[in-house]
Amino acid sequence: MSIAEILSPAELERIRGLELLARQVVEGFCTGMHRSPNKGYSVEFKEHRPYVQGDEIRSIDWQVFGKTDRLYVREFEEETNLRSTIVVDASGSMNYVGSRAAGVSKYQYAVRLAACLAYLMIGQQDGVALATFDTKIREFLPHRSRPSHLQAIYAALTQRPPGGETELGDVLAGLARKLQRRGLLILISDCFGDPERLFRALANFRHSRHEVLVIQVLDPDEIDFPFSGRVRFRDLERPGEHQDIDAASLADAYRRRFTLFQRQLNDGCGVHRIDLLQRLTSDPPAAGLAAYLAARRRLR
Amino acid sequence: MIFLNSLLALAGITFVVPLAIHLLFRHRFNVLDWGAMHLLDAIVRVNKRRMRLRNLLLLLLRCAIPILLAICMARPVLTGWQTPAGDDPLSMVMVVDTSYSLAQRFDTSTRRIDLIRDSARRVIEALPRGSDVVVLSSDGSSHRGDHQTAGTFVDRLGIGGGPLDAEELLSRALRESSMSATQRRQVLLLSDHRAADWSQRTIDSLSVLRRRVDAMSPRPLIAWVDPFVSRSRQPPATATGVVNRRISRLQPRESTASIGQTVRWLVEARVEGNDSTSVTIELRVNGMAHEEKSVPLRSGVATTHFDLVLQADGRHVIEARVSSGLRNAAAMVDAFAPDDSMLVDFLVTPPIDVWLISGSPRDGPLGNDTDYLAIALSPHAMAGEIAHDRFHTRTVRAGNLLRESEKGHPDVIVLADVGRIDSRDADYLIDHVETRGGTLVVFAGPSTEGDRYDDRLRGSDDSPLLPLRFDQVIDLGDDWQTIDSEGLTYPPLAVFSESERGSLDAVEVAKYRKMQFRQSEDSSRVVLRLANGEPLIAIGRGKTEGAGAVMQVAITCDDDWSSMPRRPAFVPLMQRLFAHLATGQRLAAPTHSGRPLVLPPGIAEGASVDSNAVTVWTPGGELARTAVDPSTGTIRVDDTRQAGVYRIKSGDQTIGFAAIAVPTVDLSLVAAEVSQVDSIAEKIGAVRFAAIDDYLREDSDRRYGRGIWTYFLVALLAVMILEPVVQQRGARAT
Repeated sequence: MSIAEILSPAELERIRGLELLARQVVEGFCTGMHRSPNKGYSVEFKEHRPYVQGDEIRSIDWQVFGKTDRLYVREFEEETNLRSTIVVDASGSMNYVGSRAAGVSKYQYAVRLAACLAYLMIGQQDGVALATFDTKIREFLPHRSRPSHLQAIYAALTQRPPGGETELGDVLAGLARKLQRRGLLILISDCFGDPERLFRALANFRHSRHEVLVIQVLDPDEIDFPFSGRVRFRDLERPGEHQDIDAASLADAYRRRFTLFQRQLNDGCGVHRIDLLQRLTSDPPAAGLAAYLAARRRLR
Repeated sequence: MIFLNSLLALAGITFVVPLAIHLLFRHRFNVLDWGAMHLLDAIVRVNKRRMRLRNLLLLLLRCAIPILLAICMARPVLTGWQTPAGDDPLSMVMVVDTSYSLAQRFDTSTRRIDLIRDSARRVIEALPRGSDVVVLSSDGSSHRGDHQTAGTFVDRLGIGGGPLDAEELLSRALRESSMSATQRRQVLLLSDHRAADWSQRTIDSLSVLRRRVDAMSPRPLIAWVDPFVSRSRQPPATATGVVNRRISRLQPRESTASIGQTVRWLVEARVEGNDSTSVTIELRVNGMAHEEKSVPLRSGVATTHFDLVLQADGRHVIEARVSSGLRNAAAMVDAFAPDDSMLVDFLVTPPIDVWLISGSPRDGPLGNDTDYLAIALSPHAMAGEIAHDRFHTRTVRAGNLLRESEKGHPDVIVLADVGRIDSRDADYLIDHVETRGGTLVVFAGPSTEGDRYDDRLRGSDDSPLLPLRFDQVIDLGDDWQTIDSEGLTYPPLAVFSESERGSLDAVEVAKYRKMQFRQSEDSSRVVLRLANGEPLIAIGRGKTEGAGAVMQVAITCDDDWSSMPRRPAFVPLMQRLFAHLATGQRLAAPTHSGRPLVLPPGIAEGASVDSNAVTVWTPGGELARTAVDPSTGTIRVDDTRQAGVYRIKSGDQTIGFAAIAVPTVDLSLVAAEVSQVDSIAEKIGAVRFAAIDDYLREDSDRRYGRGIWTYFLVALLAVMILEPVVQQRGARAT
């Protein structure tokens, strides 16, 4: 499995010109393009401050002492590598393929997004971890920044077709235990489930000072519910379960319910200062991602 | 309920189509694998019960559409538990009100009678073939025939006759209905139902009629149609584009006149509504135009007078007519024609013969008790111009009456302080009053004793002829009394109440003979009193049919007891009183249309007319049927449907005229309250209809059943509208 099998050349070209920049300072192993909250020795000067007892003598700026006859210590910003964790929802609901998505299921769309992000981050020497899940974590690749790690990620993403129910809360709680060091958590999912449990789990990450980006993948059908006539809706997550309804008669109610759900999601993200990026399977995956990353860079 | 096209009702079975579609497609779905099931689950859980009900409702509505459509096409009719009569003939007795109140206009072109006729014609046209129709008009005419001849009769019905006599007409209608051999009977009353038509006596009589109706078998259906309920029930002048002009007063100064005498006629017209500032008032004599005046209106009232001199004796008809002051098409249409004119009978008499009998005849100027009176009644005779006097007076001695009568009977006999009346004179006087209708005037005096008068002059019922009993003489000494001339209502005296003519005030009375009431109601006989309230003049009447009047005066007719003979008022007072008494009673108040006109034998004064040769002609120029009473010679005319001037002829010669007036009750256009009409209808068990269309619809329902397909059509439309609404609203409600 290669990136070319997942992303088109045009998409790869668009991503290549971007760099993922964390809005917050995160820790990292390698000196890279991301600021660290730790001050230390690096090439990026930050500030002078008065010397206090206990400071290392070598940190004193003797040139300033020569000019002012006072002791000042030089401080530098330490640049660090980003530790990103891409979490991809592989539950049954991600298997939905709408009529306007050109045969691309939500999961396939999520895989493309994940591949884009992994490709980009490994390309700038950031460590990337990958987790796929349904009711539990199905695949987990720890943080690596080697280019060969990219192949492992692609393989893990395409290894098994999606299926089963979604249990975001439990999954993220388990993942939190594995990610002790702060970093960037990218959750790619349709977020269908209980929003309260989702945000309770994401709150743990935020508490551990992780930066969290939720990319919600939706099919246009799930937004506007364009169905009519008598339709049997078979549950993708619970095989055998279905609802027989007059679709047109429930369309308005569905749309109202969906709007409410989205509002809960937006509100929850706002409260926990989580970035929420909604992507439709009818749109090219790289375009929206590019816009988002560009916006992040402007914020830096 | 039955169906007129029952086969089409079978089409209702097509309701199985939507039912089958529903059942067949119940388990047919488009299958879709869906991810956002948690959103859908929540909605379905909440709306499941409502969706089921809605689906059931939709199924019912869809099934109802073919059923309702089939019922509509099958034309259902409600017939209750009875078989509809269909076109079986029936007996219809139609009572049609044609009274003068129906001349009222709704607008410039339609009168109430037009609507009544139209309603009657429509009822007749709707009758099944072979039906019997009896039409009873309130003017007394009637018709029995089939619906063709009845239609022609109704078309010819005009306004006329007396007021609606509901009791009599309904009684006749029930009698006619009971004679019918048809099982289905109806009595229909078409009227404008005015308040004046329903007196309490009429309403009370309905309970008797109700018993008659209930006893009839089969019981007739009684229907009342008031086609004016939905129209204006207001007085005429409130209608659009019309104005109502009416004559409110036509009154002569004298109740009768002699040939050549000038009589002033007061005419008052009133206008409700406004089309000009003046009206034209025309005075007509015996149906011919006499004089016309343009009279300005002040606050809607126009008053004028005409001086009229009649050169022929006999009975005349004076008529006043009002019309618009505008002489062109700008004049607005009059809302109610019958009150535009007013008719009165007026009698012009030859000289009235008066016998003066003095109780103490004396020679010399003004020596007799009756000398002042003789001068007052025939002033021209003093100058030898007797032809100009209305009264021819002659002094006759007491005891000579019978002998004097050989030359002719007088109209009036005056007894002036006559103390003794012998039996022959008494008999003559009684005959004079009771048989010949003559007038007796008795002046009191020192010799006049009440007991003697009451003993001698007794009427046919053995009661005294004098209205009051003469009592003792009252000498007032220095406390002379004047005459109370306030509020005099007796017609010849009424003019003396008016201030400019009130010269009776100057009369002073020193003595009078007290006149005692025999009964309490005798006070109504007093027409003039002294200022102290004592009776001065009382008037009574003989006890027989056609009897003359008896006037009793408490003072002398010379100046012994009062200054009256020397006052200017004495001449007009005596002339008016004597003329009224001698002629007034011969002329009753104008006869109203619908009532018989009775003409006395002496219809033409001074002419010897054979009653059997008398003919009476209606205002329309038709010969009216007359009946002569052989015992009295009176002529009776029953056919007085038409108001106006009736001409009385003897051979080819016109000998008089008679007025037939519009009944006063028919000039009142106030409609009875609807609740009152309903209550009255209920008393006789009638059904009231507010419009002829309502009656015809009800009759059609009764005959053919009540068509109810329109209700089903409405239901069908409602269902067809409801079905998409339920579908759309149901979707929105979830």
